[in-house]
Amino acid sequence: MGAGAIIMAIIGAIIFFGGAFFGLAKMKKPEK
Amino acid sequence: MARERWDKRGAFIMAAIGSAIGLGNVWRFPYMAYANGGGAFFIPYIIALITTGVPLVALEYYLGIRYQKGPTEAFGFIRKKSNYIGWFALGVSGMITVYYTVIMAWAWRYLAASFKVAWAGKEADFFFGKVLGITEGIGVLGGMQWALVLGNLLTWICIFLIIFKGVKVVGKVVNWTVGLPWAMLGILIIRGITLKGSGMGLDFYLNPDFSHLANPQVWLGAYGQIFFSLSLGFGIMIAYASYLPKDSDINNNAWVVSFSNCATSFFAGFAIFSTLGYMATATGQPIDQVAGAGVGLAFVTFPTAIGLLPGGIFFKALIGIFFFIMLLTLGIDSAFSLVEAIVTGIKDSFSVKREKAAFWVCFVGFLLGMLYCTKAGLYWLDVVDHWMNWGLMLVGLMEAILIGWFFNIKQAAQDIDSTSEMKMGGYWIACVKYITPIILIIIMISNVVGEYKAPYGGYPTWSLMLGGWVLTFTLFILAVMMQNKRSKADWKAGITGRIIGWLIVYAGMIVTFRLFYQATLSKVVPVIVLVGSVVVGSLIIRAIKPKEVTE
Repeated sequence: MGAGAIIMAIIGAIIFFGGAFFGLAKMKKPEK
Repeated sequence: MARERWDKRGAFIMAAIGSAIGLGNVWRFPYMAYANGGGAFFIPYIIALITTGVPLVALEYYLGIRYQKGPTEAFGFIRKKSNYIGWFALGVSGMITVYYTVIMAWAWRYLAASFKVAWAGKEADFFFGKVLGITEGIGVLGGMQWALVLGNLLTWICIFLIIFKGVKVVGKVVNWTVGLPWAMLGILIIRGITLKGSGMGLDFYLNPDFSHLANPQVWLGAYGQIFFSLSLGFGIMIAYASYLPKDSDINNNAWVVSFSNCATSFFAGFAIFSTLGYMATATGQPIDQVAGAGVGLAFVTFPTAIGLLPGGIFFKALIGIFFFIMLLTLGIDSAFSLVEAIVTGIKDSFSVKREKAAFWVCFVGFLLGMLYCTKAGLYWLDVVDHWMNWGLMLVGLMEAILIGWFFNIKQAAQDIDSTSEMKMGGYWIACVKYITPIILIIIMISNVVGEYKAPYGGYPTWSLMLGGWVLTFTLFILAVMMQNKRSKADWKAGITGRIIGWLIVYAGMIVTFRLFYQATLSKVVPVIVLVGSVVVGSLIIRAIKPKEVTE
């Protein structure tokens, strides 16, 4: 696996998973 | 009667994620990335996610939460006489559900075959011959494939049992139907990346080629992928959100669901391309010979890769079982969310009991699915799927224009932000009012031009007319007729004018689309026929319609 692919794998993981977890972390309201 | 509610916010989010995550995440996104610049494709994809995906999901949640009704009623609150958008969305959803469940019937068939890896060494023959019994053309139905009828029945029974009691049961089921495919994907990735050649496969999936970003088709592809992947235009998100309390957080829910969906697509690419890399290495073929998308990937290429895996039959069977359980669990929550949207719409518009609506929707859906269980089913599925995608975009376009241009969008943005932790404000307005309509119009025009240049799939004109144009416009006309009809009196009032008027419009449309495929004819002729028939038909409906009818 080349360096370009590894970098994109890391960036993709940060953005997609990071985005989802960022949203979850912002959930301040109690669950209804 | 008090409206049903999700048990908790998490149940809604899981259900919405389950609906969004479907077969396309596994069989479409990885190939889209591979074919459109590898990792570079993530750039237009993320931009499409933020400028169209999240804002449109938020818009659909807003409609459901604000008005506490399903799609057949919610649009009417925005603007009188707009409920047809909801009915059209449900018509398109219904048509998609009917073949989606048959794809799941194929997966049931393969799950059964996985125990012996029955396809090994004859993958294409197994799929097209044994499973589908494919005929020589779309016009030759060739009889039923009874194993598929059984699989389809099984799928519809599952859907009925999950939805007939209401969203509380749905909220519990989605823990499994979202969790299981993720677990299966995890196993497939571990197996995939430990195979020889997997790194080469992942290089093709992820290695960025930024030159693709100069191609407008790559951008349109990214927007299309986001649109279809997030269950937009089906009315599902409106229906699901209508069971949330009015003060629910819209933006945050939209954000989490959209990003979770895209994360799953990204994750699935590792399972697919690591295995394809191994397959290419094992067979000595270049990757472009083995990489593919859609039905071919799931039911021919991936089973071929499973057959080539090292180890005995037990390990191959195990991977096969995991793969098809993953497809089934990915598909079932998308399928029952489609049916739930239809049931919610019928329940809200006609005040019928959920159990009754659910039974009849499932029963009729199963019967309609018989067409796709014939030996020509794959052809019909391909044709109808092509046009239903067009229908979905039309719904997305209409809802964005309705909110953006025929409603106080500033008020909507304030409403949304008032209950949300994350604020979108003017940004949301710009996305809904300008960016989304422009992008969708460009994609739709580009599709029509493509269709004009080369009729889809090389199918005969009559089949494209019947399964495509005529079906889509029939759904649209039915949607207009359905709106604001809540009693027999509503149906009877002005019925003569409606029938005559709609028949004229309908005949005009059929002639228009017939002329569309005559390459030698000037394109002005079909346009004149279409406009003329719509004008004459509308005048007749209006002339005979009594004043109290609200259509």
